[in-house]
Amino acid sequence: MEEKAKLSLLTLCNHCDNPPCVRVCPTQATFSRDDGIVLMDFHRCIGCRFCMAGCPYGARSFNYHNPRNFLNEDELSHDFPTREKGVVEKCEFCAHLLDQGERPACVEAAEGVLYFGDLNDPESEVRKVLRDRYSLVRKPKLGTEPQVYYLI
Amino acid sequence: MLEKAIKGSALYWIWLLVLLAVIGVGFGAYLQQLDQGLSVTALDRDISWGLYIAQLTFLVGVAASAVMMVIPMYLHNHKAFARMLILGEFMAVATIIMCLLFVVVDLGQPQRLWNVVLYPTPSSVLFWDMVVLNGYLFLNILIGWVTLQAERKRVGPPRWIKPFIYISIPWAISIHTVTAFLYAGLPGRDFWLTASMAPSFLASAFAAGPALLILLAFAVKIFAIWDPGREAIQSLAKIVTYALAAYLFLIGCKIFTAAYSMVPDKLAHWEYLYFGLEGHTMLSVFMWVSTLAGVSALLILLFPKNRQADNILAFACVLVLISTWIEKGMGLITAGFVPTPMKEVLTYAPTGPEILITLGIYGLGFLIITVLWKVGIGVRREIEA
Repeated sequence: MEEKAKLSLLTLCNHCDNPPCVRVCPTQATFSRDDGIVLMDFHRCIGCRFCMAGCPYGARSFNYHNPRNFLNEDELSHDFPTREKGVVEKCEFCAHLLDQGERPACVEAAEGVLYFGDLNDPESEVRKVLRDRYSLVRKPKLGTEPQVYYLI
Repeated sequence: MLEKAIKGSALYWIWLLVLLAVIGVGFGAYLQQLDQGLSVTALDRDISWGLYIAQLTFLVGVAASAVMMVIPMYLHNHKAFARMLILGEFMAVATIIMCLLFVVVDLGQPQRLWNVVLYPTPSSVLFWDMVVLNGYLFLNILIGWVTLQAERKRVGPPRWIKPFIYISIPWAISIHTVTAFLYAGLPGRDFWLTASMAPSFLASAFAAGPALLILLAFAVKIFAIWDPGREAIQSLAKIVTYALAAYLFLIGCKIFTAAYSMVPDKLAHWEYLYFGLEGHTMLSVFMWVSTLAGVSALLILLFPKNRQADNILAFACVLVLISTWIEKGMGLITAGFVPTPMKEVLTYAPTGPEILITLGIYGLGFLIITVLWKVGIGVRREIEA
């Protein structure tokens, strides 16, 4: 039998429409924003890590260390508040950039390989791409309704 | 009644000092954890719960098992437990306090614990776990203290306490059910995603709790020279035997489902647990110890003659505790996370600070049991004198 090819894939947060991480959080520190992005309130999170167990995609991480220990002060962006130890981290689709009308940093950096937009808008770029190309979501059977699609 | 806790033999005070030393060392390690964060533990992105949550899971069961004396005593008028029930209730108090502390030391931001109350979230099982654990703590302190005070005055317990006693029965079941639901409702964690979680939690609880109680009763017999009663211990031994059989049966059921269906996502966790995957075999050594200890204990306890011999019963109870402590603790938690959602295989081995903090909490638990039992047994002695 032929050996299966190994592909490197981005396994970012799926920003599920029915997110188990939000369901299990005991303080509502993680929540779905009206636009469907799953966000964290880093000042409310108690660091119980229930959301990490609840996420079927391994998309969450935790600040076991003080993140500042690993940062180069000279290269810091001051547009974004510093993080602290003891709270859960996740991909936020760069919500702070979205709020300024920009696109997420990964989409910017990927130069046309990643698409980003409003799935509810039939005219959006993402909807057009999804219409034209075959796509998959991770673990659809779990009913989490991921909003990140992988184009084949 | 508390004054009975400050009059004791030299041995009593030495024991308390030893426990205080263990607590002190654990507290020191916790200060280090507060300073450096959970980076002092072996936890990581993939195995994000470990030794602390394992102890929570195991000890909630021990706490819930007090109900195995309350039911026979109050619903079936099984008088043999009358002398010993207070010990079970006080043990529940100590173990619930340990459980709550194991939750707190596991938090990344413990000073924000109050957020769980400020932003109550009924969709979170952890919110409900907090409700039922604190409620059970309150019930046991109330019932234990009021009934003991009544006994001391040589009157029956007041009538108003009866509803609390009856409520405590389903409440005890609820604490371990809700704790099982912490795991059993998570999509994508195939090892935990099974309806048999709560029943198997309860089965191991009703084996482990009474087994610990029997061992502590023997310790009381030797060190406090007070006999909780042979019939009570024999009744507990029967409960351990039945519950142990149910616990092993439920493990067998889970293994059957995984092994016969051969669904890789189910099976991989069991392979990791018992044989190891990709060279990660440390946990499997523990699991074989757990299973062999459990099966051996059952083979011993099935024979009434063995149960009736104190030393053999004590040995079997130690085996039960080893078996359930490994299975309901490290085995259940780690194998739930491995293989990870990314299909990676890892090993989790707790660090020194993690172990010291854990021992510190156990030290505090034993300190509470010692002091409360000193009071309980002191009052009993006074009545029986």
